[in-house]
Amino acid sequence: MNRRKMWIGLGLVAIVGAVVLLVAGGLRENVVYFLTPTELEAKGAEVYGAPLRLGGQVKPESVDWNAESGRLLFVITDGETELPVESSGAPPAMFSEGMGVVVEGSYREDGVFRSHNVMVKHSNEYRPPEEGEHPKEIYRSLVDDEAGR
Amino acid sequence: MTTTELPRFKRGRAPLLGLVTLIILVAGAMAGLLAVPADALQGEVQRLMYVHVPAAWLAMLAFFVVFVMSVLYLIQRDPRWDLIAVSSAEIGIVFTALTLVLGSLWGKPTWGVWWTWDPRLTTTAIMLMIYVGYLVVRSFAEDPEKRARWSAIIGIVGFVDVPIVYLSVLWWRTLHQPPSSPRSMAGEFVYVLLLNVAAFTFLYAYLMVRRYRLAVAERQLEELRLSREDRGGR
Amino acid sequence: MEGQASGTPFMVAGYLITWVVLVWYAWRLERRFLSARRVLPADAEPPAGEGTSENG
Repeated sequence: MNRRKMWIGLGLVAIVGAVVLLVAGGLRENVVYFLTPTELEAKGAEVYGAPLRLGGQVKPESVDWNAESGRLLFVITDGETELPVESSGAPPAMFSEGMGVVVEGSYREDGVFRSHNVMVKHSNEYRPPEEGEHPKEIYRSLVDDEAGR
Repeated sequence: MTTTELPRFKRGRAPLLGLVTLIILVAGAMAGLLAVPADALQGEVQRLMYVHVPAAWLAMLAFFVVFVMSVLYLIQRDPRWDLIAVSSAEIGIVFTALTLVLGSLWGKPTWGVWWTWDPRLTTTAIMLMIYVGYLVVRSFAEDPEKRARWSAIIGIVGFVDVPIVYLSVLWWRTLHQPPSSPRSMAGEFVYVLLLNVAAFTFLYAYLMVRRYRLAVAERQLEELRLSREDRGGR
Repeated sequence: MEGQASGTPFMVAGYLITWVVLVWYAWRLERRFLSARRVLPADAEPPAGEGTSENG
């Protein structure tokens, strides 16, 4: 009887605790999934080497993909601040210029964000392909486009 | 409380509801797979929207019913509300898990990852945990009345997370995109999505009828066992 | 780029998993009910016909 009550109590406390933490955290706005380039630059030396996420857009004409070494360079921007990102390995197929991305890694003293994981943040917009467009080909051409650099 | 207070089984229309559900589900799947082209940017994988979004809708609808039934139980102490609540919670768990799996399958080729701890995914995982906890707590409680009371409290308090899951993409920065609207989506995609949401709503109704029937049968078995134990003189 | 194939297999897997889960869960509900009913005494038993459904 007491054992059961204890379990129920523990379960309730855990659930209420998790919910309260979540709500409180949200109200205090300390749930930040990623930093913007402007925020990261403002923090500067404070966060050198710390694991964090950086989110923004891939700056057009900034992508440099070396298929041989598997090194990917691009500039991430929030429209205000631009930061160079260096990553290894192929990005997701939807990665393209102007696309939203979230990168995981750390900010270095040399001002470059060293990433080990590039994630694509796509929009909530969906539309059928226009005349002559074929989704699959677009998909492939994006991939080829990046690989060809 | 005696067995007679519980509804007796009667010849229902469940098979007919099941048949209608099956027809709408098949129509929805065919519409999603054949009637509309795939998204211009994402390609074929975008068709997962027509199952991922309805599954998430069904799960949240199910948890809302748990919430309403929990409130009703605490006010009226009618065991039927408790049985509807537990039925709905189990269905909600199945479809929350399905939502997560489908989202993961969608995320890998588009985002590049199966999983990330962004606010939408994290609050959804918490939602799953809350309702699994709801069933676990029930399994620990031997007295039907206490079980119903305790789980009703969890059904009310735990529901706090459900609107948070929905609002997470608006409140916080996430990798998950915000909800699509008819303005952000081509018209034909909207109709197919609505058809599938309707199909999953029918599916919820059908599964609820079947799960509730099971809950009543299980409850009757329990009453039987408890009355036998009483007679045996514990 | 290596490992960046088309998303089609993911879509197909998603639809298959959805239908397997639907059929499995509906079937489980049927089975669980039938096994509960088997142990119930006659006065609580539902009339024949209610327990069977073609929609698994």
